[in-house]
Amino acid sequence: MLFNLSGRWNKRASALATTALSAWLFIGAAPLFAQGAVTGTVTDSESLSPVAGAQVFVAGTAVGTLSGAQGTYRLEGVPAGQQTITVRLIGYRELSQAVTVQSGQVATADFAVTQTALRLQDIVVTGVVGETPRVKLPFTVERLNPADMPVPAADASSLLAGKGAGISVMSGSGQPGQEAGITLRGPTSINASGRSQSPLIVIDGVIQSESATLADVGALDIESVEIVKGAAAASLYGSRAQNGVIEISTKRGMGMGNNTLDLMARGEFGMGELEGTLSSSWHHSLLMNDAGTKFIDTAGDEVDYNQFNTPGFGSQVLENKVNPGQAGSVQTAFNDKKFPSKLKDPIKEFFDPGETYDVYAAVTGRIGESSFRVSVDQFEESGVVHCSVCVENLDQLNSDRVAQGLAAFDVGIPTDEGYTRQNMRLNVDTRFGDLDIAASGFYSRSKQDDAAISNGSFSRLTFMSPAADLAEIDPTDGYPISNADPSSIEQNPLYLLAVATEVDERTRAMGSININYSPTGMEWLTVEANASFDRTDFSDVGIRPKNEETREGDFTGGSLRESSFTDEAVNASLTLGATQTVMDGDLTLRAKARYLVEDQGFVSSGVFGNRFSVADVPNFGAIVGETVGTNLVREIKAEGLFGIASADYKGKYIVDGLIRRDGSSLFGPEERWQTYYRGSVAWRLTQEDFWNIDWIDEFKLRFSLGTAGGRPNFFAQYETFGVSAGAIFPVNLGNEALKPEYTTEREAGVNFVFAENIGLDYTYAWALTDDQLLQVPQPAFVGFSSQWQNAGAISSKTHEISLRYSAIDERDTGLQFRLSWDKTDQMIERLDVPEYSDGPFGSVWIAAGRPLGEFWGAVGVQNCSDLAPTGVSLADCEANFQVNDDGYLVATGAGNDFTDGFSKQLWGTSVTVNDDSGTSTYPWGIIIEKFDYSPTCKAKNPTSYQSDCVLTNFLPMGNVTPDFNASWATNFRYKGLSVNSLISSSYGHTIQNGTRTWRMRSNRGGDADQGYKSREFRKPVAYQDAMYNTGQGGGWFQEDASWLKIRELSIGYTLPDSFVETMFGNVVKRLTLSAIGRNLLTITNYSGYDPEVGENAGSFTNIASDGFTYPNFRVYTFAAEMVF
Amino acid sequence: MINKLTLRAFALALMVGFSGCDLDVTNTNEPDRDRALATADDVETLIASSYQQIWSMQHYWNNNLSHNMMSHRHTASWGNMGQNDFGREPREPMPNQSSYYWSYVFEGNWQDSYAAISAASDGIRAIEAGLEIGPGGERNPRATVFAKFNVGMALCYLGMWYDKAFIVDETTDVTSGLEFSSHDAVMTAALAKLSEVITEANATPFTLQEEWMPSTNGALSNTDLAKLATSYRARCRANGPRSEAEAASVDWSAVKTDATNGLQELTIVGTDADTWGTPAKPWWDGPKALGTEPNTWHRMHPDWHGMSDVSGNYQAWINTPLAQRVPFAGTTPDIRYPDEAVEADRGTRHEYKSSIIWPPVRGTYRQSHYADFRHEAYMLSCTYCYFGNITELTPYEMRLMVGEGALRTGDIATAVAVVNETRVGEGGLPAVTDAGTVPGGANCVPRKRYDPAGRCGDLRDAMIYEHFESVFMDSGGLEFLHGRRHDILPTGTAIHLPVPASDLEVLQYDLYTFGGAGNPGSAGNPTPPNIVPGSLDSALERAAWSLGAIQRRAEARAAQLDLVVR
Repeated sequence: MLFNLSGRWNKRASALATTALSAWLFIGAAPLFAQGAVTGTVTDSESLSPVAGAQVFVAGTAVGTLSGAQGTYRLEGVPAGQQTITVRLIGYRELSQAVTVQSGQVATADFAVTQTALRLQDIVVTGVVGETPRVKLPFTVERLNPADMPVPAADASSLLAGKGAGISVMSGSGQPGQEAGITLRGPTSINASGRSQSPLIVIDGVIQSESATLADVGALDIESVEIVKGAAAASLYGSRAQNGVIEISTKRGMGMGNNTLDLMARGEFGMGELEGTLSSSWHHSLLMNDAGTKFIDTAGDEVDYNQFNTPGFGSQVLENKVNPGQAGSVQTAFNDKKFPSKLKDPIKEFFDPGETYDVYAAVTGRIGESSFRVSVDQFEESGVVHCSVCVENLDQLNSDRVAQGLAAFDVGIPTDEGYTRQNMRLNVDTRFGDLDIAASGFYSRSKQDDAAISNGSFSRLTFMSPAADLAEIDPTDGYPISNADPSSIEQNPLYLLAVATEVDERTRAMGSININYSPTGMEWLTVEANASFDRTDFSDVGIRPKNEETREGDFTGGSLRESSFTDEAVNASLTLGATQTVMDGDLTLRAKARYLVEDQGFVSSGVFGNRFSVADVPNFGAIVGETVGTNLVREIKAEGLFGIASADYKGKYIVDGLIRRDGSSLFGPEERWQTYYRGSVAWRLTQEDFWNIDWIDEFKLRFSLGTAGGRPNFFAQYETFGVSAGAIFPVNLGNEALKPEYTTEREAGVNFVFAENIGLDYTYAWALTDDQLLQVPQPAFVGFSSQWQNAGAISSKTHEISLRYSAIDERDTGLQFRLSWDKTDQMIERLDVPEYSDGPFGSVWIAAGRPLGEFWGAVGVQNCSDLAPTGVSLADCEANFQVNDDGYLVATGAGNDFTDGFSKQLWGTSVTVNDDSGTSTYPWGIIIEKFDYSPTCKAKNPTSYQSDCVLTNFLPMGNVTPDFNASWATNFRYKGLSVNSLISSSYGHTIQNGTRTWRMRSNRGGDADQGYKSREFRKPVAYQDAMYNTGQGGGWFQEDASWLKIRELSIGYTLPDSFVETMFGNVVKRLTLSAIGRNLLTITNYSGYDPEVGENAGSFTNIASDGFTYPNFRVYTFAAEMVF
Repeated sequence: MINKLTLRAFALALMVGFSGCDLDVTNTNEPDRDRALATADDVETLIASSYQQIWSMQHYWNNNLSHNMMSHRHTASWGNMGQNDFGREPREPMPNQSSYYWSYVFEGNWQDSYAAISAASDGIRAIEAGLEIGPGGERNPRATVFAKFNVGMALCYLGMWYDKAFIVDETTDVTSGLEFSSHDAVMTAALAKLSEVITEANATPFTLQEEWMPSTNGALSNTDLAKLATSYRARCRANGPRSEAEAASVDWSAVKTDATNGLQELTIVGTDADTWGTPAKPWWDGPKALGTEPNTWHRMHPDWHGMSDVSGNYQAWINTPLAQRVPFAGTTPDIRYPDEAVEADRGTRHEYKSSIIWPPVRGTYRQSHYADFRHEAYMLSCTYCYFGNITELTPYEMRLMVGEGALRTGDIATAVAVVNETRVGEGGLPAVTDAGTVPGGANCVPRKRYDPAGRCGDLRDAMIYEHFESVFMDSGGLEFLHGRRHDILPTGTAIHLPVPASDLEVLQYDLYTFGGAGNPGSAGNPTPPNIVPGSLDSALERAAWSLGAIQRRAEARAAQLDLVVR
């Protein structure tokens, strides 16, 4: 047949065909009987999948066709003789093969085509009716291949960071073994307590249980990741798909040659170190003797710093720097005096580089119709919390003791020991007749020392004075001194780190089996059965020893805590699928129907006991105080049925639709079943006859409308009475009509390929998540404190751009770039409950008409209009206030400059001005909190807000949602050398720096240090206290947290085969050496350890906020990988 | 459970496509109404549990530390429990916003009160609908009376703390629109309900289950409960007034009678609270645990220990501008205080701490060297777990109400007798004379509070002082409520709580608050009368005090010289 003329290539082919036909007619020398046929299969050389829709033609003739759904083709009327058969398909390198055609015979020519670097023909399976090339998708599904993930991460969650537009991966905590938080196109729930904002994770067909973590899954096993970002694409997953879906496929042995066996071993070793640090104050504000060698305490005695607040000594006294000799006050004392002793940076004493290693081995083989891959992985990361000076000091102490004939102390080292994990995975594929069977098994065991987190070490560290020596060892017990800084109410953070035990242990088992049946002769039909389970067993043990010291030197008696949980999810499904090609192969129809069930069980228990009767027996039998226990049981059942169908007409018109009916025990009895749907269309204009722009190889328009749900937490629907210690009391008013959150998303996009090597995708997705699940407070007299209701809506608008450029794509050399950019704005559209605050510091303000993620709190007055709401006239303001060097409006009094505090002895005085309350007095030079009408109240009462709204100091401070995220990946290879880098950034968001805030409580932060300023710009301690604001911070600590990171950089070299052979004979086939850096460099103005930081607070998980989390750190490693 | 689950799910996998699941799952962790109240015993438990809400108001955080501090007895400047904000001076309007970080200061008593009323009323209604608790309903009277007791107590706490509230009991249909009632009306309803309890409790013999109110008295009988309600009726009536003027119109004879006839002591047997108040162990006391812990959380306000000071340092402190005030050591003949300003020398109830535990940036005016250790045994029962007994109602409180009632009704002799019981018996101070004069001359104790002149107190001051000494951290709010009715709260202190913003928002009322000098609902200037700064009285008083101070300094110098010579 003559193939269809469509697209640029088809026009060329058409010209060729016309020419050939003319020649044949003119010469008349090619008799009809001198023809044969050519048949064969086109497959992907990498995945071995059949390639459908490829153009197969005989060079120099008009004979051509398209490969079918199974990759097969048949060329009729091929002139006899030596012919060149060519296969061409966008996204693949063109491939030709010579074949001899004999008259009346059928010749065979199979093709294994290789994708170009743009990988347009990668097969996607998530959220679609069946295997679908990316180029034909009517919506966005990101697919990551090994080439996109050249630098293995510590686990599967962090592997995704910076890998695509609209994918946010936040390492809110750098704690080893901690899963990074993943959100796709922003959060979809206002209140996610008891559930998650993370996407549904599926690994080799295993739907993960709710407690499962990607930290268990090593990155080296991963073959590909598919990411479905929103409801427009994820509707297939129904009431669990609101946050998107991530489907991970692990490596299998299917691509192996028959009867082959490969062994791969890889070792990676390196170190981690803290990149960022905190600025500290190196000066103080205390009264000292004239010589400046001793402090004066409240008793008037001369004392050393570590004698304050110890028995017999008094406390600190502020020095009056404005009126020397007079009593000091917070407004006349300044942190500008040098300490008399040598200072030590507590941050440096606390952190030290740690080690990391990963040893991995995999065996892959194929025997006949069966293949397998088995892998083992040992991973360890010690983190960066380690006091090496303590160890040195203890060694010295022990050495001295031994010299004195005493026994050395055998005590714990002040270290958070980090994380270890052992994984094993087995994937098996086999075929019995018409049955394809794929089975996967996974087991993981890990141990996490979270002593630093559990014992509040990061918070206590921030309060330590540089005059204290945290690493000093107590000669009586060998531990760091408990009360290293007696002027603080905080214990030495290194002390509990040394004496306490805090260990989490987790085992994880996953398994799945997938049976696919396609009867011979009925290849259009498939029957697929799947069953999977995922189980996590977790235990946590905390031991505080009997002889743990208090700050006052007493012993606590210790405590023991043990808790555990088991979470298991079992899923099963049965799928019927059909594929049919009609209209002479122009139209491909595919349909699927699936029934699935889910059952998830969660059991937890915990016991806590106080006071040991004997030391070193961490057993509840040794507890003399009371012990208390808790337990929890949860079961979730779900059932679903969906049908999905797609039609592909000539590869240019693609239509897709699905409907799903979902039932879940989590919904109220009256709303137990819900329906979701999706409809999608795509039009590939470049396949049209009229398309004549040569340099645009692909131009696709697409639109998808889909719905998906978000399930409530287990308890939400139930009316509950609390029961404890024999008491009963009402807690939660049940809601039988509780239904899932319901997201309707529309996604429109365009995909281009320019000049065969530039791919550009743009997507605009706009969604409304209605029926927000909110805990609605009830009037107190109702008795029940709250009820979960569907009571709000948030909208989301996302722009995503993805640009891929393959600058060089040759056999020995390759250079590719990938740029991803996204921007998401979210708004609370409706709120059927009173506005409320949530999240860290109670600062996330939830109000209709406001953006989601907006932080509110105290804001400093910066200009005279900020004072106007309180009634201070512009004239009075301009006469009595000035903007200081920090940008804040402060009271100076008429005729004074803000720098006159010392010269005119104005610090400690006040300024009185007229306002609506009569008069108000402002401390001289001190930051002023702004009072204004609440913006939300003002918006509701635009004309009457001055009478209907009250002044408040709770005002917008910033937003944690970035203006945009971007990442830039570069992959270069030249023969054996490869260089890969990933730069990612987040721009235009702020973070409440809680760590910096809390440092102000004790004037420890760099903000408090006035010693490096010239005198006229110094601020008294009252200025810093106003900023501290009892730990609630304010706008002054809402920092721009934009950042740009070199997230990954690796240089690898695969040694030449000849060299490997010389060195290892035939034993080693390939040897690759790599140097790898992760989180190498961060460029930011943020003053905390790291701008990528998050907290779990209120109903938020991993919201961008800084509050004493384990800081992220950089890692350098060297790796060697051998294939045998 | 998991294995069973696994087997079932795999069975489902085999049967997939053939049948649907039953999607009903029972929450076995917490019951719903049907299961919680399935039996008469459950309803009885619901009623019994409502007392825990009353306990919560009296002994959990709620507003207890913040308001104790606002009364200038306890002092602290940590932000926790709203202490920094509510203790800051000059006083500011209270931040009654749902966004306020420590909003439970406003919400605690409000929510606990209505939770108690809701549970108790549900129980009463069930009984009135024919439920029989015990054979033939023999325990119905006990349950009904105890439920009404808790309703009465909840209304009392609403009336004491809030400017207005909803009057709700078992007869109220909460689904219909409720209207606010004034605090006086709420208190009237509370007193009526407690009177009903007293009558009904005296009418039917019963014994409360000991775990309902696990006191050192053992299981309370019906008459014990009647007496307890009588004591609480005295407490409620006495603590309702917002000012001295309102206190004058209280029926103090009734207070005296109730305080005399009521139960004189209620001490609850504490249980380990685990991590500060896990509901599993309800009988614990947060304010006692932290509000008397001297190394981090608690000190006595200088306006308290200053009343005992005869050195003049308190007057010097009073006469220092607020921002420049620093903690001072005093001298007093009261043996409850240490003789010397050293830690080793403890008094019988107070100790001196050389350390200052709060950053000076929070205001040195609220720093103090003195701590009260009356509840030390409870605090030290173990670290972060508390086994000790918890005082809730003491003979001191009852006797002081009798004394105050006597004083306010002109019965000086009784008032003097009451004051001297603790003043002499515990403080080692010379007895107040029959004429009501505080003896001691230059060494008189107490001094008038807030008095720039340092004058000796009178009988009223002596009674206030003994209240300070004897009723500290016993039961939530007694200090504040006492200070309120004596007009001795610092200027601008809010005299009651507004309806919490969270409820105002739910019910769609406008937000409002109290506090701040000169604002409605705020305390006036507590400086003792007759001392008007700049007046002749003031000058004379100051001169007298100064002469005394000169004399004392001379004596001290002579003693020092004597020591040196020797």
